[in-house]
This record gives sequence, structure tokens and C-alpha cells, in this order.
Amino acid sequence: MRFHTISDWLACLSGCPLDETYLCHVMLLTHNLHFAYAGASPMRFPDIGVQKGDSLLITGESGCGKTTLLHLLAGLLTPQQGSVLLGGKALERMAAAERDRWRGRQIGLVFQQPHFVRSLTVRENWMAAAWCAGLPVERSVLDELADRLELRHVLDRPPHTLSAGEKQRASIARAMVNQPALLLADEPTSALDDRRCAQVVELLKREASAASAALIIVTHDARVREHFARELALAPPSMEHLTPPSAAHLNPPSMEHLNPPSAAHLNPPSAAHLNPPSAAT
Amino acid sequence: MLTGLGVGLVALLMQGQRQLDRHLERNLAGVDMVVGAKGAPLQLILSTLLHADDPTGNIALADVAALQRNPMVAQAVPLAIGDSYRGYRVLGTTAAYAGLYGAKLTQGRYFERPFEAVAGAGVARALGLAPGDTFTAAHGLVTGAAAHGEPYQLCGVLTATGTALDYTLLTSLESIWQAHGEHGVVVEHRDTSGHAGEEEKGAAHAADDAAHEAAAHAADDAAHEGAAHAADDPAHEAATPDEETREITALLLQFRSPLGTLTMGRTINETTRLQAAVPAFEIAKLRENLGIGTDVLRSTGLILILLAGLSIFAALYQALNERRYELALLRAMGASAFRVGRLIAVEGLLLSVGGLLAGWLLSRGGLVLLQRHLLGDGATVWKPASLLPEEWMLAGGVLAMGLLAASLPAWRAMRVDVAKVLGG
Repeated sequence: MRFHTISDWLACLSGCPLDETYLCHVMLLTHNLHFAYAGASPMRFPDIGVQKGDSLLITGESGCGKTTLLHLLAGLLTPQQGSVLLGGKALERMAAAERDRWRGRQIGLVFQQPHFVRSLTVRENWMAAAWCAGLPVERSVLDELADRLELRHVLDRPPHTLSAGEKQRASIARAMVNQPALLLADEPTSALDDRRCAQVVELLKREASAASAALIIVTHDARVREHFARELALAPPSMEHLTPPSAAHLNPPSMEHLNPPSAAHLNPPSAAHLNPPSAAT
Repeated sequence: MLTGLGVGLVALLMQGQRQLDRHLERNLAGVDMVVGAKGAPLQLILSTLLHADDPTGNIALADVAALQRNPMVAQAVPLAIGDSYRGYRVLGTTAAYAGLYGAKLTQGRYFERPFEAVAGAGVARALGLAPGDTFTAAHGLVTGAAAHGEPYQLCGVLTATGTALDYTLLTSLESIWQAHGEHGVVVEHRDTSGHAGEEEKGAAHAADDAAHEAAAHAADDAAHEGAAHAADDPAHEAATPDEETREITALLLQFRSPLGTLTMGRTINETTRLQAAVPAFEIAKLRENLGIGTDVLRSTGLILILLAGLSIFAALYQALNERRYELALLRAMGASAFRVGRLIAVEGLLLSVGGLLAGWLLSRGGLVLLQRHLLGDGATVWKPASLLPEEWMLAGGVLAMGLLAASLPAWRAMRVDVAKVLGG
């Protein structure tokens, strides 16, 4: 039995007996997330549930809050309302420093632009990831990553001397240094050509499964879709004001992926959590 | 860089001032008062204790005879200045003079006869003099001035004291007197050189020796045996016909109590042709005058340090913008805001530590150069290795400044909006 949202899970709690094995595999759960930038209208995000080893694609046009959602999931932003449960802990209830550390240990982040600390070598950048998370540096892990991603020859070079592909791989490797439970990638492919795009997606999937981590990719890049079974499409913000509660059927067909048949019956309004608050509650 | 310059200047001044103070203090050697000819009191002090100026003039030995017998005087040491050998002063005095500075003999013995001399450690080393060597003094203090008089024979070398004493040659008062006033009279006795000639000198010399003994004893024992000497002195004046013409440059006095400094000074200045100068007063005045100069330099140094603080601040603050992404990255990788802020603070601290080390080296280098330049090789008065308490304070101040300069950038670093930077 698979659950994809906290509402699935809550429904299960009330209706059916608790599945222990499921609970210990759940990596990330969000519930009723609201966030508003100062002076902007509030955004509401659908509930998300991800298990260990799962992968999820979050898509949407630019401006619909993809990156905001990613930052909420990573605890870089704190929601005005709602909850993010990461590895069994509610991010919004943690002290700031504790949240930073928890993020460092649980999440590996990959950004659109592979940025590094300029003054450090690639190896030192990787070690910095462990230092930031307050974890010991596992030399064997570094070596393994370097071998697997074919980066051994650049380990002691400053990152800005690397080629674009090497940088991308090095940044993915850095995200994996602490062997996180969740790999979060923000637009990892948008600047790449088709061939490299496929390579990077495969690499992310491979690395995530090697560490048995969950993988979430946030992107507007349509090319990534074919690689993912599950996709969550975010509605543009304007829609929230315009769409009436019944607008669920207006969502694109890809929405179907979000609610696999098995879970469908637990979610009567199938697209409810993607839509305005009135529809969700 | 700026920190280095600032710290260097201030530390150099601190060291320089401390060394100068110590130098002066050592040179004053516990002399409470200098009695000499009328003139500028500072000049009198400088010429007699530091050997750094021309003497004010001479005074008649007879004029100070009463002083030597004064019961308040613990010790009185006569000085006759005016001759030199290759730039080093030849002082006519008594063995007690070396005692004032705590110098002892390393070789040989003190002068006993006219034209025997004892060399300070610095002179002996610089000129390579050893007991038994001879030299001819020149009138005046300039190197190469015409030599005159009989050659001196060195009979002893003193220990180093770190004072002006190290750079002088001491001889008896009689040697000076004979070399000067009595040229014409005794010249025929003096054409034999060295020790042997001395032996053969006649009655005049015997008289001289007696006078020398009397003077030395007067110095040593003036207070104890004031009365006895009072009886001796007239006799000795009678015995030497040219006593009236005998002159010295100054008389150094040590008193039995500080009261002596006050009462004697006034009495001498008001009632005699002599001038009494108190070294401590004069040096304090000198220091005050020097102080204005060093104050200016010191504030320049402090301003440099402040500028350095500002430049650390500016550098970190500017770097902050370039590093926004790196800082956000560290935060995203799990470093807490505090940890990131601490990185910046440590950076500021390291910068100021670097400056501090550079400055310290600079000040020591400067000190060594100054020493070479001002004092010539082999000067022993500077001990630049020691760290002064002021320097520790300076170090603490500079570190605090580094932290302070880094604090605002650090605070800004802590407040970097990670989501905005990474998302933007």
C-alpha cells in the first residue's frame, strides 16, 4: 500500500490499522503548506508524501512557486501555516540552528547552477559539506563518489577550473557526501542539452537509489517527465484566485500521476490538494 | 598590511620609549645632583651623565671642596671632562665613578698613577684595547683633534653596564690636570713615555698623587670623615702651589636623604658661583619635551591601526557581497547562521593577527636598524626581544578591533536570506 500525501496517511489512521513498515519508510510529509512573500498573495501547496527510495517530479511554470516549495521542503523558508515532516521531525518546530543541521544531514541539495566555495578545491568543497552538517568526513565515501562520478582527476583542483559537466557532477557528489535520505534538485537540467539532460537525470536517480534516498526534482523542464512515474504539477498562482472549487478537472492530464489508482479511493476529490483552500478542507 | 604598519609604529615607539627611559634611568645611576658651572641645567646633566653634550664650563676644585665635606653628602665624585681618544671621552675622575654605575673590573686594576686609565667595556671592545696598551688623548671631543700630552697607559677594563660609562675611558683627575694646565711646567719630565717615565717624576708628582688620594678619599669618605679632611685639605692646598688653578667640570653628589636634594640645591644655586642640577628633574623635563614628538607619532600609529580596522571591515563587507552565494551554500549544506557568522569573525581575527605579527616583526626590525644607525655596532643598551605589557595591551586592542571590524559583516552573513540567494 502506498501513500503519497499526509491526507492519505491521516485517512489511513482513522480508517485502517497503522502500517508500521510504511511509517518507518516515510521520508517526507507535508501538510497544508502556506507561504506568502512580503506583500505578495499567499501560496498554498499541495500535500506531498515521499517514501525512502521514491522519486517525485514537481513541475510547473516559472512563478508558480516551485522554488518556494523546494525551499519550504528544505527548511530554508518557514511556512506561515502547515507542516513539513522530514525524517520524522517537524521542521517548523525546530530551532533555526537545529533545522540547519538537520537539513545538512537529511537533505542533499543540487542547484541549477553548480556553485562552489571558490577558494576551496573540489575535495575541500565536499569536505565542507560534512563540516557544515557537523559530520565526520568519510574518506571512503569521498573516494567512492569520485570514482563513481569519474571525478578523481579533478579532486584537488579549484572548482572554477572544471568543465560544465564536471561541475554538475561535482555538485551532485557534494549533495551525496553526507549520504542524505532525500536528494532535492532545483532545475538541475534546464541549462543542459538533451543528451546531458538525460545523463544528469539518470545520474540523480542512480545516486539516490545507491544511497537508498528519496529523490525530488523541481523543474519546468518537460524533458525530465519521461523519466519519472510520479509528477506533481503546481498550478500557477493566478489560478488560485480564478479557479472555483470545481476547477479540479481543469488540471492537466499529467495530474493523474499524482494519485495512482491504489490511493485514489482515499482521496475523494482527486485534485483537491492542488487547489484553493476551500477545496482542500 | 595597514595593521602591520600601525602596530609596527606603535610597538616601535613603545619599545623605543621604554629603552630610552631605561637607558636614561641607568645613566642617572643614582646621582642626586650634579654641581657644575652656571649654564643650562639640562646641558650640565647631559654632558656629565650621558656624555651627550658639551660641558657647561669648569669650576674650581676649591669651590666644591666644602661640598665634599658637607655632612648631608653621602658620596661626591669629581669629573673632569674635555679630552677624548678616537671619539671616546677621557674622564678625569676617581674609581668611585665606576662604582656609581655598578661597574667592576674585568681585567687589570684601577688607575693609581697619573696617565693610567681604565676603559669602559664598549671602548675596549670597539678599539680592541687591553691592559698595557697606550693611547694619546686629544683635546676636545672630536675624533682627529690634535693629540696632546703624555700617552696614557691602560691598566684595567670595566664590566659592561649598559650605560654611557661603557663608552668612556677613566683616568685620574691629575692626569687631566697635568695634560692641560701644567704643560709648560712639567713638559720636560714628560718626554719619556709610558710607565717608566712616571716612576721618575719628582716632587711635583708626589704632590699630585697626594692630592689625588685626598680627592679620592674626599669623595669616598667625605661624610664619614668630613672633619678629618677639613684638617687635611688646607695642608694639601698649601702643598700644591697651583691648587687655585685646578679645575674640574662637575661634581656628582649622592645625598644621605632626599632632603639634601632640596636644601643643597637651593643653597648652591643662590649662594655660590656654582650651579646645582637635579638629574631626575631635568630628565623629566627632557622626557616631557620628547613626549610631544612621540605623542604625535603614537597617535599616527593608532590612527593607522584604526584605519586598518576600517580596511578589514571594508574588505570583509565587500567580500560579503561576492560571497553571498557561498555563504548561502554553506547554510544550505547545514551550517547554522552562527557558524557562518563565526567564519567571518575568525577571518577578521586572522587578518588582525597577521597584521599584529607583521607589525611586531616590523617594530623589532626597526629597532635593530635604529640601534645600528644611532649607536653604532655592538651597543648593548637595547634588549628588543622582551615583550612589554603595553605591547600585550596593544595586541589585545588590535585583536578586539579585528573582531569588532568583523562583527558587522559577520552579523550580515548570519542574516543572509538563504532562500532568496539560492533561489534568485
